[in-house]
Amino acid sequence: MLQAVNLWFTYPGAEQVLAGVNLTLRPGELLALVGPNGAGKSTLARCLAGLLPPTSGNVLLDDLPVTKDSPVGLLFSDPDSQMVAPTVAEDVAFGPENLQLPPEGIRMAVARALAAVGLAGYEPRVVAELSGGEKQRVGLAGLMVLKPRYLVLDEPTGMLDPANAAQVQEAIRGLAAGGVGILVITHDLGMAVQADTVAVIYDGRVVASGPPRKVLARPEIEIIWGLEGPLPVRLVRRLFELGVRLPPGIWTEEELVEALCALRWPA
Amino acid sequence: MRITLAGVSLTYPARPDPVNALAGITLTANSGECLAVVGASGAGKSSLLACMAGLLPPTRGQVQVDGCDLYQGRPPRWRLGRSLISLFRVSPGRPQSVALLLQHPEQQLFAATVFDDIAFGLRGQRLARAEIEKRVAAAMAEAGLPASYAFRSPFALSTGERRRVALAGVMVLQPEIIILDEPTAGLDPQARRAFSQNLLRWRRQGRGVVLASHDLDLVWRVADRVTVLHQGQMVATGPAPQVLADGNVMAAARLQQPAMARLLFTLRRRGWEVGDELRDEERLAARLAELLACSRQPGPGE
Repeated sequence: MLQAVNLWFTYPGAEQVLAGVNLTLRPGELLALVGPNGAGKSTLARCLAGLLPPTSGNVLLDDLPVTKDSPVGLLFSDPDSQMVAPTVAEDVAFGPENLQLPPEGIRMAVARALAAVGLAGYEPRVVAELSGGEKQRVGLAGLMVLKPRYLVLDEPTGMLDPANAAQVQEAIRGLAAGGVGILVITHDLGMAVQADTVAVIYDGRVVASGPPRKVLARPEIEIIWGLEGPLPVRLVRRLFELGVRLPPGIWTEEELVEALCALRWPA
Repeated sequence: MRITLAGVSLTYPARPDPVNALAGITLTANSGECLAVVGASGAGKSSLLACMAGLLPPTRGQVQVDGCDLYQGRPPRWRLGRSLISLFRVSPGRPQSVALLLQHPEQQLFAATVFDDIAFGLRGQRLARAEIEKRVAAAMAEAGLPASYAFRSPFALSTGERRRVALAGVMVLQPEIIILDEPTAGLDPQARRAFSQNLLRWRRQGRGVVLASHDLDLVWRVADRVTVLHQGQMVATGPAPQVLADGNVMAAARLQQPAMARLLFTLRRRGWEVGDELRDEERLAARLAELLACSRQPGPGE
């Protein structure tokens, strides 16, 4: 398990960012971390990956403190700022080459990592000519080649168009299904609802966590935490304010339309 | 004020086989309206905006601001305020006509404090200190930044907060047309909502907005007209609801319809009297409640 235990963090000379975060990520779990700008999401991501030492409290991987050499990978949202080599093969091989693994082993590991993110055979491609979604998946492969047990992804689809975002989301789900525990930071509650667990971070603390449909249906989501559910959920809430009572558990457009029709034209 | 593109083509020469980033685009942007440019990654949105803002001369075609050619003849009197704002003077007496906010503005902040960063574009305009302070405070409020942030370092802020600083740095110049490249990427939903309110307010104030965005729900809410690009070609241009609800156009450009457009379409098919003028969920909810109330009341003669 990757755990934040009563984690506090303050940047030197600045305000406190994390104020007692408790969070657990299990192997194979896809956990979506949501929260408004400035809540501490990216800082928490860096702490979990061992890049920032906690001011107090702990980040533990199977009960041992995380360091930057722990098997926890971190990916950012800007696909262009994290590519290090001209071709896909070289980019993905960068990590293991630095660890001076044997070239034959690296070649096979690179092929496996690319296949795991749906980019089998991409080795000779030029990084600069890839789409944003392909670059993000190359970034994921560059992490996977080091056999991480946990991944922390900071808005991996934040700069992608919907088609590219869908490819990256599919790759992420595939990696979680393969046993990697993944924490993904997102503003897209439509993506969060497909995770195994959702955690809400607000003002430096995890204020709610649990099954997505339960957490994201809480009224605080919009009013206090400044987040926004998908359109049907928001409409149900607005209709409630206008005195229209719809049955609970409406999440998709189809569910909403059915419920509205049933109310207007009872069978 | 009006920016006109006539037959604008752009080829990036550095590539081994030159790619037409833009091919024969003819388009106008006006004060008082919001024009959205949509398209998948690589469709040419950012190139189009840079051409419009006077930063990138087209290979062919013309860009005019109120009839003055931006790139030909007498060199346009434009200057680069800082990397993220392009200001050009079309005629004397109209200082800041057009401002451009590039992608990733949060990476382009440079001053020691939020106040200095926002005030940068005002320096050299010989404004009184008090006037600068007033304008910066107003721009901060408009961008959703608490006043207490004025003397903090922009580098100690989160990405979303830095983005608001960059936006305030453009708004403080009170441009007549503001050009925004992906302004809401990395903003949380509440900030996005506040931003769309800003856009609508600027338009009411008579400013023009040109917006490139992947956030089609935002586009649905704020745009008057939409231009759809695909691989440098203009696939469609027209009134926003008409273009965004056109399944063929959107599919051709590899885009999904906005959630509101899909929902309105489904509702209409099931017999609900809801039109595309319902641009936001508040109005849609009100309309649905109204329709439900009517159908529950017994009609005459029942």
